[in-house]
Parts: sequence; C-alpha cells; structure tokens
Amino acid sequence: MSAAGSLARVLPFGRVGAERPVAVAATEPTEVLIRRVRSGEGVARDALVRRFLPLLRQWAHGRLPRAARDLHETEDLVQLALMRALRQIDHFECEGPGSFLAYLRQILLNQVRDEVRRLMRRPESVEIDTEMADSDLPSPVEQLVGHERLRAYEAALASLPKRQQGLIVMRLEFGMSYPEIATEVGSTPDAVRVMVARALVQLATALKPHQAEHA
Amino acid sequence: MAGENPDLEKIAAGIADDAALDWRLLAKLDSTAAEAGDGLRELSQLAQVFRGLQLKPERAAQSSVQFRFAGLDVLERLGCGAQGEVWRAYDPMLDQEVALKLRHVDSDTLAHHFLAEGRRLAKLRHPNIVSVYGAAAQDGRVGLWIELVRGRSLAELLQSEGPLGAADAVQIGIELCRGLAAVHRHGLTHGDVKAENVLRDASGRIVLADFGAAREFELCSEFDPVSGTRQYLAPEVLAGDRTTPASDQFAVGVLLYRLLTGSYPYLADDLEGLRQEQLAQARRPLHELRPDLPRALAQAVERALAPNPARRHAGMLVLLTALEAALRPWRMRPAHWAGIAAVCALFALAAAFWRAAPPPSFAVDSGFYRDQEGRRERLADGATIAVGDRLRLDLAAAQQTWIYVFNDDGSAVPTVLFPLSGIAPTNPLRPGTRWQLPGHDGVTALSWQVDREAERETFILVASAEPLPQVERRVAEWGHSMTPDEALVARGVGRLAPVQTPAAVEGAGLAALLREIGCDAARRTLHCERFVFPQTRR
Repeated sequence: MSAAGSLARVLPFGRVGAERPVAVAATEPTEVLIRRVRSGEGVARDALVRRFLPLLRQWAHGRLPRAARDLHETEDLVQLALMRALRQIDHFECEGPGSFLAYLRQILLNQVRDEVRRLMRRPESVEIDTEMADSDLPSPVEQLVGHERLRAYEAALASLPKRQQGLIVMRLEFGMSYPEIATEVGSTPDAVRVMVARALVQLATALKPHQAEHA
Repeated sequence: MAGENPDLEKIAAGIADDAALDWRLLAKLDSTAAEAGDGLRELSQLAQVFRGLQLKPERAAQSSVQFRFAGLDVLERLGCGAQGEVWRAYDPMLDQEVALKLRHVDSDTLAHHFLAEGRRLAKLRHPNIVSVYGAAAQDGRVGLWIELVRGRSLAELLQSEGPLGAADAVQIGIELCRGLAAVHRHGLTHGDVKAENVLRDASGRIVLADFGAAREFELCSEFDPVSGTRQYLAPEVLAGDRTTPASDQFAVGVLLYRLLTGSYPYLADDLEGLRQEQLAQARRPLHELRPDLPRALAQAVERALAPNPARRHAGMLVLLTALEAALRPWRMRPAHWAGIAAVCALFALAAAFWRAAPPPSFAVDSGFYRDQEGRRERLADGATIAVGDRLRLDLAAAQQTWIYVFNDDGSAVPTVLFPLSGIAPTNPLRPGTRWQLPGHDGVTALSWQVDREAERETFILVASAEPLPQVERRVAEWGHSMTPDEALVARGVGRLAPVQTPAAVEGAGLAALLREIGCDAARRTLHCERFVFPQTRR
C-alpha cells in the first residue's frame, strides 16, 4: 500500500473547508507544527501526519504479534494511534524537541497491547501457535530478545526524561539518521550524536543489573 | 555518576553509530562505570535487533529460494555433516534470516523427542545463548531454526591472535557463566562447551551455540566422546556419568585455561590417560605459564578444573563472581574472613523481634549489611534496599550455634539462603567469631544480591543452640529444588504483597515450619528474627 493511499484513508481532507492553506516547510520544527495544529490549521495537521506516519509504520513492523501482522491491520493500528494522538494533542505536554515522537510511540505501544489482548480473546487465535503457550502472543521483537529483556528495557527507558527517551527511540528504534534527528530537535548532527550517546549512557545505568540473567 | 564518563560515552556513541561494540574499552571500565558498561552491552544487542526489525525495502528475490520448510524460505546451504545440513533461511514471521538445521529421521518417536526438546530450548532466551526460534517435522525431516550469528568462534580467534589477555579472557568467562547459569536454571546442561562452540559476534557479544537437540546434528546418535571435544570432558563424564552443571563448569575451566595459555590443561591421547591426568591434576599451573595473571584469576580457573565436582565452584554464578573479583577487586570487595575473631559487643538489634529477647544463656547478635563501593553500611529496620544491592548477614554468638536463613517471598517454598552446599562456613558456627554470611567458596567472599524488583524483601533468621532436625529436613527439601546459584542471587519476589497489609506476608511452608519449631513459644535456646527491608527504585 502506498503512503498516499493510506493518507487518503486517514485524513479528513474535506474538513479543511474555508481554511486558508498555509505552506508548511519540510524543516518546520515539530513543536511549531503542533502549535499550528492546536490552533486548527489543517495543513499543519497533514504535515504532521506526513512526517510521522511512515516512521510509525516502520516501527510497528516487527512489534505486532504474528496474528495481527496482516498489512491492513498494521496500517489500521498505526493510523488509529496517530489519529488518537492528534485528537489528544491539546493534552500533549511538550518536554523538549523529540518528545512528540516518544509520545506517539507510547500511544502506539498501548494500541499494540490492546490489540494483543483483543486477539487473545478471539477464539481462532488458539490455532496460531500452541508451541508458544508460555508467552501468549509474542511479537517478533519479543521472540527475538525475550519478554523479560524487553520489559527491562521499557522500564529503564520510561525512567528517563522525555527528551532523552525521544533521542533514543528516534535513533535506535525509528532508525532516523543524525541529520534527520537534528532537524527534528533543532540542532546539529554532531551535537545530536553526543546527545544520543549521553542518553544511552543514562539508559544503560538505569537498566537493572543482571536483568539478562533471567531469561 | 557514570553519565560523565568519557569512555562510556565513547562506547555509547559506537552503539548509536551502529559500529562494532568496543569491548576492549568495556573491559577497562572502572568500578563506577562497570555496571553501566553491562547496560551498554545489553543495549548494543537490543539496538541490533531493533535495526533488524526495520522494514527492508527489498528482500532477496523469490528466485533464490531453494525450497520451503515449515514456512521458512530456505536460501543457501551453509554446511553439511553426516547427520544433517545447515541452511541459511528467511523466516517471514520474524522478518529475519535464521540458520536452519535439517536432518532426516526415520522414526516418529525420534521426531517427537526432537520437537519436544526444540520447544524446550525455544523457551530459553539469553543474550549469551544462541536463540532457538522454532522446531518442526515435515516430509520425513526435522528442522530446528536458530539465530544466525555472524561472527568468529573462539577457536578461530585463538588461532589468529594467540592467547588472550586476562581482561579479554575474564570477559568471555563472565559472559559464558551468565549464559550457562541460565541454561542450568532451566534444568538443562550444555554438555559441549568448547572453543569451537563459542562465537564472538560482530558486536563483541559472546554466544554459546549448539546444545541439546541442536548438538545432535554434530554428534552421532550414540554418545561419542572421541569427537574432538574430549579435552573438555570432566573426569566423571569420562567415567560414564551424564553431563551436569559441574561438568559444564569443568569445560569452561578448560576453555579459559586454553584461552589464556594456548594449550589444553591435559594432553593425553587416550581417554583413560586423560582421566588419570585429570585426577592427578597433572597439568602445568597457570601461574607458571602466565606469571602475569592475577593470582586470584588463576585460582578461580583452576578451581573449576578440580577433579572432584564437589570441589569446584558452587555454581556458574559463583565462578562468575570469582572471575569478576579476580579482575575487578573493587567491584566485589571480598570481605576478610580469616582471623576476624572479634570480641562481639552485643548491641541493640536493628531488626524487629517477634519474641522477647532470649535469656543471656543463649545470645546471638545479628544484623544485615549492605556492601556498596567499598563501604559497609548497616541496614537498620525499615532501611530501603534496591535491585543490585549486595547484602550480608553479620552474626556472632556466645555459644555454638546452628543458623538457618531464608528469603520469604510469600510462596509455599522459601529460598534457603543459608546453609548452602559448597559454601563455608557450615553449621554449627563457632562462638567467638563474627561471621559474615553467606560465606565464601574457598576463594571468594560472597554476598546475596537482590535481583528482582519487589515491594520488600523479608529475611527470616533462625538461630538455635542445638541442631533442628525439622529445619534441616526442610532445608534439604527446599534447598534441593534449586542450585546454590539461585540462592546466592536472592530470589527477590515477582509477586507483590498488597500495600494495605501491614504485616509481612509469610509463605505457608515457612510459617508452618516456624510454628513447628516453636518460634512463637518462649524457648531458651531458640532465636527467630524477621528482617523486612522495603525495596526502592534506584
């Protein structure tokens, strides 16, 4: 499915109505876009979706359990999460550049968990994989690293300031380049590299010792 | 604070850059940074997995698929042996390339056994153990697909670079101990630890490969001790015993000896000669071949090579502790055990008594201490502890005393923390000495480490002027269900006691035992204490 196709499904284009379209520069900081979305600018909303949908789609790949890996379901879930985030955008408290992506990731993560619970209630899910009965419906990422390790990582990540969470997820999980992150946080690629490294040291310190010994 | 350490930042920047992990720099980290270093090692692996999960624009063309097996696209043959073949395959569910081991089976029973074993292995996930993703039988063949590790074996490393430095060898040893401890906790043994089976991947991670069902590909169906791995076999295995955690430890000892010296400790050509050499310990001492090694490191490795399994380290985590202490003494702070015949002043107990202090004829003074960065801190009642804390019980008695220590997490079977097999001291404890429990394994002083988050940790201490047969019986029973490894790392609870319950929740089994021996009744020669330490997040 193309990006354009999915946007058409997501965006209530018709609602823009009489609003005067204002151009959105590709380099416009997310914070500014969020402010514009809050003041009701449809164009800013489209730009925000265009900026984050591909990233979220990429991220969701590998984090959904097998049973929900149908492309449409992934797509629906990602779009739903983004729409939910946009609806609640007034409640989003910006804690520095990059924190919006960490916020989106959290909403999507919750959405994925809800989906797993829903699938577990679905009778046909019994047939999915009886071999994996001990770990419910593992997503590929859970299968690759194990549930315990993933939980330890999430707990450590959640203990960091939002700004650092944002830097780490952008680099490690969303695979963004330093220049891309620099644009997002309004900095230079070199400075971003140092910031990401420092955030990783913080995260490593927060990871519980011996967490990996309990497979 | 570890956050200011430039070495840590350099390693972290490497992880962020997707460069190979700088594990030499990691091994050099000092005390304040070592745990953050462990965290970075873990993050490096997670980062690799996360990168692997990102959508790849185009996958190998379908035409390169040789055949399909259990939903996998089988791509290229990597190797073959008498028993089967190894293929590179693509798992569309994981969106990862995997190694698929395939072999023919002619009986349903064998296939069934193989699948059961495969499923058991698939439950084990540890960064230092190759991950088994699945097992299936199809068209008269059974297959096991596992993590595709891209790296070199330690045998290749040894061949190209010669013997390793102490820091490198210890780091490898530590990672192997972690992996094997996880294997043993699952009630499995590896049985074939050798330089050829240990891989170092591109990120510097040490991965133990090929065990259980996976190993059956390499070995003939009959056990074959002459398959080039005999140098690693413990004397009891050469005598016909099955492999055990202690024989895995012996193999790690052989491997470390070989990594440090370039040669095997025992060299006899035939099995019986090898066993005789092992029993006589007819090997060149490590310090003779490598005078540069820290003495404690040589001792730790040689203890793993003890011909009598009972004389080896009490478990993989104990060996790990000894290796770590040998290289980074500042991390472990081994206590000074010998000769502390301190005159013990009886001071007020910090912990909560649940009965009146016993008459002076039987007196025990006890208190928990936390070892932190070289400081020894007494834990007063209600003191908070955190995951990672190392605790010891300091204890002195005016008379010969039998001591039993339990960690109570509210479950039916508590963890026995003392006495532990293979660990000194043992009951009864002599009077006139200030003991620090759990004790030591002959080389290294040990502590209990809190390794799981819980609302609180509850320790029960039973001290008696005479042996308590009921307690001895239950200790044997409860202690039997775990290895000393597990006891040394205090179990820490996964279950949380409800906040509103003011009294500590007591496991049914332990509560019954304490009633039975009369903790509630006033007895002159018995002393029961409960220590409750709430946990805090660090």
